[in-house]
Amino acid sequence: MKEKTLQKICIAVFSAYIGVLSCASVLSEKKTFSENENRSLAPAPKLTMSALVNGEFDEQFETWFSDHFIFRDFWIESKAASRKAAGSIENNDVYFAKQGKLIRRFASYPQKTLSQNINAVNKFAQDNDITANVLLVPTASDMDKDSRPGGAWDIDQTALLDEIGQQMESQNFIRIDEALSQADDVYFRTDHHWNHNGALIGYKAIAENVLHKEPETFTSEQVSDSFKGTMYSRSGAFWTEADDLYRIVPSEEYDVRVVYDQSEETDSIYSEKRLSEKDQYTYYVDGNHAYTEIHSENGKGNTALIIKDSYSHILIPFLVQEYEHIILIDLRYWHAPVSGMIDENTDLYVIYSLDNFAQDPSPVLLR
Amino acid sequence: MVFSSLTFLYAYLPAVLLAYFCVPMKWRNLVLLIVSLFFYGWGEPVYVLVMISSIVINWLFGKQIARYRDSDRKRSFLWLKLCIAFNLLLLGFFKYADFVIRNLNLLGLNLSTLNIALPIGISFYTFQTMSYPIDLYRKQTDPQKSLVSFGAYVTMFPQLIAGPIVRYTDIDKQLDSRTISTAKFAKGIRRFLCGLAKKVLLANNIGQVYEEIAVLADSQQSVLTAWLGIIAFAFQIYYDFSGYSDMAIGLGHMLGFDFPENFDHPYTSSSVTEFWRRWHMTLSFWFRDYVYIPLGGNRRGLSRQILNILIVWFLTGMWHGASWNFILWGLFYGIILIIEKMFLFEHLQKAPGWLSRLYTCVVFLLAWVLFAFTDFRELTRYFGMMFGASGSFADGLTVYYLRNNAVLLISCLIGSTYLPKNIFAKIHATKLRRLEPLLILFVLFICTGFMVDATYNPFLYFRF
Repeated sequence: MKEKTLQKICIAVFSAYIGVLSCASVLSEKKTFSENENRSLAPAPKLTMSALVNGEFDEQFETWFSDHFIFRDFWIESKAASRKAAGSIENNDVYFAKQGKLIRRFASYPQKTLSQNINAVNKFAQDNDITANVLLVPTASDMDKDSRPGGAWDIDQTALLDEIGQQMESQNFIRIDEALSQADDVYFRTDHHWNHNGALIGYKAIAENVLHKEPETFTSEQVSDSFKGTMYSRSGAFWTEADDLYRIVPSEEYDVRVVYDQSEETDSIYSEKRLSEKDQYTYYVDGNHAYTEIHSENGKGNTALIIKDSYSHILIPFLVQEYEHIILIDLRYWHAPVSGMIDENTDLYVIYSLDNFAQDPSPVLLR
Repeated sequence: MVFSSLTFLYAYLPAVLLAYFCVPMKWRNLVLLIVSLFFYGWGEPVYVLVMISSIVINWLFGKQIARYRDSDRKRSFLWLKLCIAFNLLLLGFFKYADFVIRNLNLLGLNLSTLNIALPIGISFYTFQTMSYPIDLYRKQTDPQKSLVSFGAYVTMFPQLIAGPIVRYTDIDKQLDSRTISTAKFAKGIRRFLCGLAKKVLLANNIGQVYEEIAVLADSQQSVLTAWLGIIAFAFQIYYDFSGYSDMAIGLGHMLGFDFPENFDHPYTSSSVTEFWRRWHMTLSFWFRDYVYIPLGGNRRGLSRQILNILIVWFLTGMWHGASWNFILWGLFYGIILIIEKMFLFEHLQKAPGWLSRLYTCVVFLLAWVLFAFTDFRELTRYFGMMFGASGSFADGLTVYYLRNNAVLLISCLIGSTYLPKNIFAKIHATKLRRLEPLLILFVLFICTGFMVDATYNPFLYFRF
């Protein structure tokens, strides 16, 4: 082959590749939501004078162009695969773990945020003359550390719990790290949450340490086999097999009334419609709401006030058997005082995943 | 708009190439000027006006300098001084005004800062344009008759925002007539993709490692992690910067230009003197030709030479950013270069190769720490970590970084030597070179994946 012919082929290949992809990107149909990434895609940027002058248009355009780039999912997956092939053990801070698990890395946290959160809980309990039942659920990066790829390093969550426990001496600090690390299959493979098995361990610890009773018995019933969770979205490892999701069935079921954000009322703690969406974990109490109130016809007359993140959601099927009233407060969205919700029949809970409690700045808003 | 963005590669570039090659040669400088102004205005809509005024003034003053340069040297020199003063004022106002105000405030004054955003690439293009009046005065080139062609030279999008610093004399003839050939375009593609891969696959990924290590709490640091962090930074800035230069040179070839080289395997140097002949060459040579030699260079005795070196390196430091750490960085290099000039260079020549290379590595790594941290508390903290202030030599986190980035680190290491270049040259001499179209596809494919899922794609030269 002549040198010149080869050069012509190179130019043709380059031009064709760029040309075809750019035309296809411009002409392709624009989606508004990415299923795999579980997020809304950027809307087309509006060409306004102010956006143009302060340079925002540049950024907005790039975000939009990238969000709607042709075969976006394929490119994201190809990047994750390239990283894996090049020997990386994570992509976007999610480990490619063993047995098709995707585990969120937890290697550092802002010291200041954690101590502020601890202080906020201690102060709130003291101000209201109540003992908080604190359940900080350690995550898979340490509890399931044998599944992580070789070379992984994460925070020793047992040691971190020891440290936090010491600073929360006046609270009822519930430990389940030993039980979780000994059990199998307590976290979703493709999501950062714990699953129904993990939550059962959490419930048993609550029964023992807070309710001081024998735990009730529950069975579980599979409701989905197509759950692709947050770690699936974030890792780009779209080749990972989907998870199963379970409904938690008590031996005796009570009627419930659930009110989300003081407006939306239903008669189930499960949100069936969420099973047809991407983030199926929102099947449990409909995902994140600022304020959720649950009334259970069990006639026990007691209340659980739960300051929480989404880790608590999968505990609710257990807790509706134990409390007549449950109030869930998500401080990321709820900024009003909660102290008025406490009376003599109230158990106060603080339920977070440990990594989130160490990193989320919102618990300081507790008052 | 950065070269390593989807907008550039899949929207701007195809449109520009299409427009450029659809018009006849005589219109191409105009097309180049328009698309370059669009490129600049896309991110800096207001400062396009600053750039246009800079073009017009330098062009007009250049005419005057050339007009009198044979008949009335004094008058010509006066125009030159005015022109340089204009350029320096422009740079001084936008880049250094707030820095000066903050320092005056430290001395007790109470002035309010102007909070002007720095126009992107201003340090690059003012240095480029300044070469024009100076070289005119020195009779090294003739004035550009066409304002459009001069404008195309100043704004030319490939080298506009991150170099190389192309002097007017480098491309004066090409502005008026240049050859565009299949061979040159193909060479341009190869060079551009080489730069794109350096930026997207190496710089961005290793940069993330540095960013993470730089903010680790003291309790998570260790000696080895801290050194790994600064090595990651060294690789990031090298692959980012030389990647940009490669992309610029490659795009230049596609458009028919030959830009000067900017990097020549600097990390293989066996002295700091050599390092600076290989790192950001167009800037070092600019300072040599327009500052060091006019100041007298080495022709006025040793003490004057030392002073000249310090002046040049003070300015080099300052050019990299309006912050004391950059000045410190420049002066650090100035002092090392003086020491090498006085006696060390001779010894380094005689020393075994590995020893002089190791010495050079340690010097540039320490210098990168000065460069990386604009905050002095952060700077001293990081130095502390490199020399054991954390009380730990290495830990699980060190192993994690090494394990997770093993292939990346080895690629960066090998990529900074002559090895890849030699291998490609060997392959090119055999029939295997027929695989080049496949390699082009492969690089485009991998880079696109990393660009679509770009969590980290910084533009490092916003301070320059």
